[in-house]
Amino acid sequence: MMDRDEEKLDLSGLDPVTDPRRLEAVSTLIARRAIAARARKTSLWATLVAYARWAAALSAASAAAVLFLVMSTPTAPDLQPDDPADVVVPSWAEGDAEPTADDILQVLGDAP
Amino acid sequence: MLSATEVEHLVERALAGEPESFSALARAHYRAAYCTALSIVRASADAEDVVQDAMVSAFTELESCREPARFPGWLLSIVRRAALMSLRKRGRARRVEDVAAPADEAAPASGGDVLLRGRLLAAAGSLSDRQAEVLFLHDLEGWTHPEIADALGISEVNARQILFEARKKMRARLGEADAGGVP
Repeated sequence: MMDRDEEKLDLSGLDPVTDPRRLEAVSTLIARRAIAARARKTSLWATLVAYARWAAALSAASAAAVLFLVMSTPTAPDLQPDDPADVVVPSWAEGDAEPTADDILQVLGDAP
Repeated sequence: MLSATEVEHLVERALAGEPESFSALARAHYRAAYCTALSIVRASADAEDVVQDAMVSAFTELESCREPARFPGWLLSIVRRAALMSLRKRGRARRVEDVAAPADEAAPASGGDVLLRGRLLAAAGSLSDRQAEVLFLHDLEGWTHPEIADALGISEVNARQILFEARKKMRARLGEADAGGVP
């Protein structure tokens, strides 16, 4: 004999949709709400993508403008001495050691 | 309950944008989702609200259901989360349905139905959420043990054991109620 606790309990009193028409109505309502929510989600995504394109285009234009300005602005004069002699000769004056002939020829640009 | 293959096809067709597939999925899983929500919120009107909102949000994020054949388990996990959120919003005050004044306008019921529902819910108050969920899915929705085990991520043996305990407690509470009036 089957144990009493193995028999199904009658829980039909808890059934939320005993009427099939009600189940149909609730299902249709859920489907409509879901389809509308999906459409909103898609359109939000499309809007974000469109904004992202504009933002990317604007960034590229700004970068190009900055690059153009940088390229067209004259650079500051080079502070490095053009001639090594401007540095080397005073150092001979400040130092105690006398320059060798090779040093002098190198400064004059005639080093071998 | 639909077969795994039928559910998989419905999910795929819904993802392809077929409106009727959403209705079919809702129709096929409404009661099961209600069983899960009711096992947590323990009030039929609240459970119906939770189910409707949870199903809409599940269908909106249907792309994140990685295994369409296992849609029922995925849906029930969303319903469970929504039901717990709903409880949290109400300050964790779980209420057993007010038998005298059910605010269930969506499902008008006769006085006898309301009393029966209140009596069953009061008896289910002695069950844990999991016991109530297994009991409702099996004895109200008619799911089999393998279906319950798959959807809830438990073993079939465990599902049987939980159902056995739940019925035992329910019968005891309903028996007490019959002997002593309203439970």
